[in-house]
Amino acid sequence: MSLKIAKTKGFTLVELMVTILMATIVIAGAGIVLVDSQRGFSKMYNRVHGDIATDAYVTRRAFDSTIRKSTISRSLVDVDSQFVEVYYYQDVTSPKPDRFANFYRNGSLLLVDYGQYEWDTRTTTPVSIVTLARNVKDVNFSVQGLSVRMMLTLDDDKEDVTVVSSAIRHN
Amino acid sequence: MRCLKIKITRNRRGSILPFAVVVVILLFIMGLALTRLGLNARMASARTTAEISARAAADAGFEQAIRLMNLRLADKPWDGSPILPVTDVELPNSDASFSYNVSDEGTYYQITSTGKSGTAEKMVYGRLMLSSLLFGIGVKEVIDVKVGATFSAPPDSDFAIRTNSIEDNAIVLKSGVTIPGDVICGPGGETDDVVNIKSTTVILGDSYAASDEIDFPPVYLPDDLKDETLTSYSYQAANPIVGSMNPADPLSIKLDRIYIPQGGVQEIHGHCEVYVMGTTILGQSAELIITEGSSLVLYMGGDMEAKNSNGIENLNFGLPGALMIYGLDTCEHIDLKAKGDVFFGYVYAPEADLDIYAKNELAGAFVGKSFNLKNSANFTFIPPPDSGETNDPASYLLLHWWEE
Repeated sequence: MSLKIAKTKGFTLVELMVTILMATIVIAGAGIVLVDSQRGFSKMYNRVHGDIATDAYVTRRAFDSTIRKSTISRSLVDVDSQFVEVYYYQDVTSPKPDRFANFYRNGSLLLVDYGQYEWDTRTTTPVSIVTLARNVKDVNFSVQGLSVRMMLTLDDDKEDVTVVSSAIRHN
Repeated sequence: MRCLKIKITRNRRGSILPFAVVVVILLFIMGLALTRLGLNARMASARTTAEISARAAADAGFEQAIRLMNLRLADKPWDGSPILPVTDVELPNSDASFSYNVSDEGTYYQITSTGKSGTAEKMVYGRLMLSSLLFGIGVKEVIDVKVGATFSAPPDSDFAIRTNSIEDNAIVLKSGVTIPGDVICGPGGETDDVVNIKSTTVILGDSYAASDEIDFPPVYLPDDLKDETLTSYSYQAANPIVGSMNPADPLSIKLDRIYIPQGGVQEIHGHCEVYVMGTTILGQSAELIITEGSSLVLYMGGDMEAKNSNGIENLNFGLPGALMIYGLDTCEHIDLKAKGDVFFGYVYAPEADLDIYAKNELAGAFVGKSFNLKNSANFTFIPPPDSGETNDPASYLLLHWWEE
């Protein structure tokens, strides 16, 4: 009686290569899917909660609420459409518009000056300056009839957002 | 010999399954996060949409309230009560609705308009005040002011030159004209196109497009004049029309026409309100004179024609309220000539083309379909006296608007 023990065969070079190739494909595929997903997630997150999205939202809200309460009878727009100035009442007891807001671009910032306005002499006295947005790539203001329009493009090299906001003056 | 083979198999587990499980779990987590993020974005978008819809609904309710308030002015006589509140009126083609309430606060009316869309709610407020339409020169179409005409107005007055039109050159202000107030065109108009000015024209106020057209409500003929017996007018020299001595209770006269022949003079003594159903014709060199201390309210059912060198003379200098001319819907043309080239009076004829010939002084205010100042007169705006009469041409002016 003889006992024959079958030997475990080793991998051949071809088997090893095929295995490595298949593993590489699987791992690479999974990696690509994961990385793409991560990128998609990051992109979407930035679009929803990123700095420029937040800035765009804040700018639109501030622009909208200020324009809506401003007077129809007077406004000032830059010939190059780089700023717009509107006038509004501080409160219902004001006989004439006595406040102003000037939206303008300063480098990569979008700012708004708020302050007092003397209607008859058309003089402005800034009281506060608020930064609405950073990473401003382009901004354009226009006044058409009762409406004031702002077209703002923000770009932080990762994302870019274009906001078009138009509001009607009511006073 | 029997050969016994013992096959030893190694019970090694494959590694691809746990790897795949890990990948799937990671993808699942990633997908879940992405879905959550998308949901957040969608929620934010829906919230923004609802806010915008609610705001639009509130604005629509506000505009409707003003519109209805102004329409009420056409219902004569009007008691001054505000319109009834409305609740949850659907905004067409949206899921938004609005409610508004107008309250009488004594010196003004306050509008509160609420717009709702989903969970979003927006409230806008406004204060309205009844304001005379005799604010200066107001027309539906064209204003044409000749070279060198001058305008003046009290410092705190709301003098304005205004048209509802947005057509090019609807307001023409020739060289040397200075406007001490605002120049206003119809809603949506471009003032640079609508207002035609020359290099020496000066507008001291602002030029802008109005938020709404002015309705210019039609003239309401008082009942006492409507019911008055029709009298056939016959000119008799040196035979004045003698009215009441009480300005609060003027004499009512209903005439088929007025025809003052060449060189004739028709004087008004006392206080009269006259309804002329037909045409008013002033012949060459004829005069219609409102004597000192008298007043005339003229309701014109037909046109006014003026020949050469005639005119209406109001001897109550500085009191344009002594002459009030109302043009009914059937009055389509008024020639106004000022004897001595001086005219004091108010004209409210929203369907009539006004041709004004006055070389020297012109005082009061004018409303017409069009206004054509033919000579370089000195126009002085005098705010109309607040008579408190419901027949005074007026509309609601928005004093203040604000929102929450």
